[in-house]
Amino acid sequence: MKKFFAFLFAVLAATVILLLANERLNRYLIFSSSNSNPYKMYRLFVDAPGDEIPILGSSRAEAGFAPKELSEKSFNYGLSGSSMRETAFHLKAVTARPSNGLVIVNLDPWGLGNGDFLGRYRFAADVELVKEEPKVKLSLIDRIPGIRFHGEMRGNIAQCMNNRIAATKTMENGAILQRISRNQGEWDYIIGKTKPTGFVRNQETEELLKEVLNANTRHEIVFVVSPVAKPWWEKFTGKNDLIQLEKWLGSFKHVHVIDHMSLGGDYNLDEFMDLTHLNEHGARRFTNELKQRLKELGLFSTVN
Amino acid sequence: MLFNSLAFMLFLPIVFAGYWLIYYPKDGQAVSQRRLWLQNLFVVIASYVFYGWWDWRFLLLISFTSLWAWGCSLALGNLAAQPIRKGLSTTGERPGRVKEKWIVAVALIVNLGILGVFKYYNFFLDNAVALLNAIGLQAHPTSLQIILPVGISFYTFQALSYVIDVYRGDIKPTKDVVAFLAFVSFFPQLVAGPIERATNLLPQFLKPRRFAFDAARHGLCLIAYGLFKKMVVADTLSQYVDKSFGDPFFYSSVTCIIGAVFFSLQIYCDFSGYSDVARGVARLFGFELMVNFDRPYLSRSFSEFWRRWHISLSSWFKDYVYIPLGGNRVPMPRLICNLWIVFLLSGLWHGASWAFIAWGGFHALYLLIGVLKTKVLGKNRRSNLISSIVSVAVVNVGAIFAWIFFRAGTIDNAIVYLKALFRCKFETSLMALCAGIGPMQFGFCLVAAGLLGLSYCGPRDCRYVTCRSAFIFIMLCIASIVFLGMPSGGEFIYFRF
Repeated sequence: MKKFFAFLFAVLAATVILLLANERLNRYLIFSSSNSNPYKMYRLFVDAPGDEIPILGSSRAEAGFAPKELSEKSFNYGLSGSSMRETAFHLKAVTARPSNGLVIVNLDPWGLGNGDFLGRYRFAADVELVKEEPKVKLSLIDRIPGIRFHGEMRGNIAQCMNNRIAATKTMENGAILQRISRNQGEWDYIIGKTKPTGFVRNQETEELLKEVLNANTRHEIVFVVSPVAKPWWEKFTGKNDLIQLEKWLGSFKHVHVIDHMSLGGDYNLDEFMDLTHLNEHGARRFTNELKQRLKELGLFSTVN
Repeated sequence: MLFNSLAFMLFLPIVFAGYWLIYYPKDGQAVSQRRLWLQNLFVVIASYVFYGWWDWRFLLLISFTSLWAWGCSLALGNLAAQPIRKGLSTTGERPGRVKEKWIVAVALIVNLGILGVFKYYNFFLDNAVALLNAIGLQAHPTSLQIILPVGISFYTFQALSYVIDVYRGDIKPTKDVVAFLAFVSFFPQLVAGPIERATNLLPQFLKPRRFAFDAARHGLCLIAYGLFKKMVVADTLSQYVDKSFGDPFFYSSVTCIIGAVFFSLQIYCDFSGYSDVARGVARLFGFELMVNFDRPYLSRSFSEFWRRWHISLSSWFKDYVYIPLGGNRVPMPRLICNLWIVFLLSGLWHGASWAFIAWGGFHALYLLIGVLKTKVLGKNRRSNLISSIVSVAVVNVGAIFAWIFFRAGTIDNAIVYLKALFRCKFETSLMALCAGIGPMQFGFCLVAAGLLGLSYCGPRDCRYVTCRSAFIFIMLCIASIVFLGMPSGGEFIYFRF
């Protein structure tokens, strides 16, 4: 048995060294790319640059806004898989910054989701703001150095490599712009499989938004419904609910709503990656149009 | 409790320590039956905690299944022990044999009945309704919302084999109910095998286990290799497989082919990985479980494939179904019939779906072709390297084709996949080739498959002779898991069966 324990100890000791190396390597990879989710959280909560135009939202924000088209100082904090509840939490952090300025929030047309927050907060576990947020559920394993990044090495390597060689995506100030264009057969298949989507309401998210928007006095917040493809929009059953939500948001001070779809979005399928996400071409066109609209509203000058 | 979970990483050392603290027999020391009994009881409790981690209600089922099989075997033992009074009966059987048959029948009906209700009730009901509707009769069935208990097929077959072995006289029934419960519920192999025979495992519970460093070191090698196969290879490939099988028409034929090949590797690594961990953990406790996989994709024929793939199940069907039906020593039409019965049952064992039955049917067909080929060309043909490579390739193509049905889950899905595969659309974009997971993740899939191939360079069954080689091997596996493993790969595929 003694011999076995000696052998086991050697294995465990070597494993601990591997885990610590994994932690170091992951940290290096995370900070060598501005597009990784943990980096975005770090920047949002810890770095908190004051002179930028933050773009918040889900994967539709991440893929649909090309920050450099807007301004060199713009940064895309869009996170794949995040709900409006999480975006509101980020908005709270951004509006708490001492600077004045413009904040762009992507509003998904399907309403106010309330999903659980994901493991991307592991890195920000020490930040007081994250600790206070009840929706951030960090498990024990998420807090143990060496183990907390387990399984993320591949994702981080992929992010880092994509950042360098940009094989299928363009990385730009936090945005991940997809260079996909599909053929007609693929679109037919996707459209054929698309089911009608309805609108989601959520009391908890509404409450948080209300609290954040009421407390805001320094920032001009622009909620933007970025383009979705027409076949999806035609099957969307929550158009009236969306208009109601936009009216409610617009009733707050310093809040503006730009609904691209209600304005009659005319994007072609070759500007989309799928029915709800723009590709790089679409994202650049959309961001330029958004910039013009912001200028017309007199909002763009607040930063530039 | 999953082998690849933090809960199990904490559970294992606690159980290991408790187990050897209760009874650690030393050389030359007299056997302490009381301590042995306590140690077995500890195994039962640990196994029930392990199994109840999913849902404590499952414990009622496994304890009933075990006790029923134990009771039936005791009854069989009592009958066999009765003195022979009148000699042989007119049928040539000894008296009491008819009663024994009844007891076996009752054991089979009850245990298979439980399996049938939990696993096949809705399947048979749906098909009966479809049949009645087809002939113009309207049926209004009541389908049940039944949770399929994890591993039910495995422990049911293990309990059944014990009753049949007792009936056949291959093993004496044990009166030690604790040892028997430990045999059925032994946690390393409880939920996904290997399906152990009472003749192999039960005697190990009836005598003291001794801790051997070489065996334990081998156990650690098996655990590390099993986790590597599951967390690095199977879970990595599953990303590609899920995408390609999820939307086959979206991708080119090339992507569908790669998806099918990756699934064949995924299921092998997923299942054999579990078996490796199970055997490794058992070795830490002084047990020897049977080898369940022996590099099956290097087989040169389908009969060899089935001697190397899920060995515990294929040998179970061979011993308890195929040989009682007459085995090979029957006329050709009967042999064909036997093969079909065994493989259709094997397919049905895997899941209540026509797709699994079709998967079994394909393997029956392959074996039949093999039998006919042997009949026509003869058995003792010389093989060279090229013919061996061709044979291995043919077996793999056949196996991969059948796996499509297995993975698709339904016949309709399998047909959709095959249509996508055979539409001969070969032009493809980089993203389509990568099945939407991105070139980097696709690259990781290739790396994972390559690492699996590299692992074949080591000794068979991870039997590293020296401490240094075992240490290096374990550390390579752990390094792969740490740097390339998936965070939460989820359940093992065979848990569904």
